[in-house]
Amino acid sequence: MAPAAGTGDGGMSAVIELQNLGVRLAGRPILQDLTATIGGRAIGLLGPNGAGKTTLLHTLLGFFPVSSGGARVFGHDVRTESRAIRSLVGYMPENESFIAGMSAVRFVRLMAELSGLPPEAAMERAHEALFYVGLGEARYRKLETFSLGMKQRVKLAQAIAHAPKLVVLDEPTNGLDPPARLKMIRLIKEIRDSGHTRLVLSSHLLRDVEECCEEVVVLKDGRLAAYCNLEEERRADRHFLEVETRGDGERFASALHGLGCEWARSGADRIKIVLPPGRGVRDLYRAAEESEVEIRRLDHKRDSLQDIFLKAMEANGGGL
Amino acid sequence: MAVYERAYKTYSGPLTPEWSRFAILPRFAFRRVFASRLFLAFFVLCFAPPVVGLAMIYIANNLKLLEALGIRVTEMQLVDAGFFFTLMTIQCQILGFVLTLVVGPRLISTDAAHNAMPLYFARPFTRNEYVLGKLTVLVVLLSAITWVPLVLLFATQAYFAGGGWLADNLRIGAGVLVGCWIWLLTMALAALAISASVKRAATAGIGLFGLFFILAAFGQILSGAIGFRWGDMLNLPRAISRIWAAMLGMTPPDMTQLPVPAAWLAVLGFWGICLWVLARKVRAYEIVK
Repeated sequence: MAPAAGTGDGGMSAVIELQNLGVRLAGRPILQDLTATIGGRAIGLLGPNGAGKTTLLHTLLGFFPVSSGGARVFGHDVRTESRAIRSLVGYMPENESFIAGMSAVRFVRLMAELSGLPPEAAMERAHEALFYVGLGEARYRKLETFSLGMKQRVKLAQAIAHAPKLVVLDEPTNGLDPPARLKMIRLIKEIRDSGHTRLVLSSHLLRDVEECCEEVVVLKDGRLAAYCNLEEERRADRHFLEVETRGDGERFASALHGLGCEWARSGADRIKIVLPPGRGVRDLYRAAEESEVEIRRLDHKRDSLQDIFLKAMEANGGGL
Repeated sequence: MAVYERAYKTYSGPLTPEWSRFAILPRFAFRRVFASRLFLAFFVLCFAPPVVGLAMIYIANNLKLLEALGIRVTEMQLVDAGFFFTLMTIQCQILGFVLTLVVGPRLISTDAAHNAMPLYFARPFTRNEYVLGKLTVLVVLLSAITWVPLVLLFATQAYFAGGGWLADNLRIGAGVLVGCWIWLLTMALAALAISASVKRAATAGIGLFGLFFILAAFGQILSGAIGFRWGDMLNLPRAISRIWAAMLGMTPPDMTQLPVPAAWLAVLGFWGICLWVLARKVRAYEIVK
């Protein structure tokens, strides 16, 4: 599966539009021919390390120049309207980012002021943002004394303090222990569900994306490998059977066709089958017997993000 | 919303004008530097030479006081180009240098040390505004101890001496103002360029110290020992002294053989290098080749 484009979700305006976007850094192509229109509340950017997720985010923020094609965020061109884009965005970078010697509240206030908030409003919102992320009691402590989990939450606080229309989170659960990760995921979901802002979450962790996002763009080697609307998948709740067979696959395939099944090969001897209404597993065994095919294993499954991701990786001819 | 209502909420209040946002950086920086009592004491001390200068101007223009003090008019230091040159040297090349050494190295290196640059530039805030904001910190502090008190002294002397003195010595006033700006821009750009190049404030401090002293010593060796007259182009304090002297219309005691255009070339070249370094280093992420 290697779609050329994703689709925005019906009623919502496009958050990100990519038109044959290409980015070269130090002479090397990092992003190539990316085309997609994404408009959901929470967009996941998925891909193995080095796939180009962070480069894409940095290009959208205007950190890296566009080499070919174009991109728009909320309709603003990244080439010419970078400042307008950045006034709508709150960014939480992947790496440790803070100013040593500053207290958390002063740091978040500075960042809010740089986003355009007047000093009083910035101070008020810095306090609120720190309480919101659970650092209310530690807000007067110097940032260098914070643990990794606390630093991650400060980064989130500075990203949301000025109430941006789009919050860009780059690997927000990086380095967090399980309880801290759960806290971070809960905060991200709350922000998403507030309805005031859209989210872009870049991660190589499928679980994070699956839990927080409605749409997923999978990148591999700087190219768009897959697009998936997780919300639609969840609504469809498509179950299927994964069957491992031995014997004449072609005859079995035509038998499945005769039963009215949707099917697809998922390996040399594996077939994914969606049974039509009124048909059951018994019909499948009968068809196998008539085709002189041995069913060695049969699993009931649901299409997960992991399947989509793995398919995207395989379809593009590479392992992880 | 009260802080105990922990929920994400939007902001619909007014925003500050974009042009004014560079001034946020100096405001935060001043609060940090003046939090140190030691720095505050040093900053106050920087006004001692202008106060002494003010006293000298007052005495020099008050014959009765001179008589009372038993000083003959011929023994009194003249308030002329040499007087202002000496004060410029003290305020700029000694006190201004120390102030830059204390404040400058931390300005960018603290942001670079823990990757805070992307946080600045992910906002509606450009690299130029960032550099302008950081430059303003040093320009304001250095202005306060250099051209502002010296121009006030010049105005005081003009007031005491009368209109004729002002007309005859307007060149000195202009020289003091422009000369101090040349020095403070040189110091500020050097401090920012070095601070942007390293991630530790201490290293930046050593770098700034080395830039002026080691380069000056090398220039001195070239011009003094080898007799290479262009060697003083590496000695920025000397090159700037040469420009000051030309502006004030005087010959300083340790006059270099460096021609004034060459001194200007050295200063402008140095500014160019500093701006080039800042353009390369001040960015959200550096592209590694």
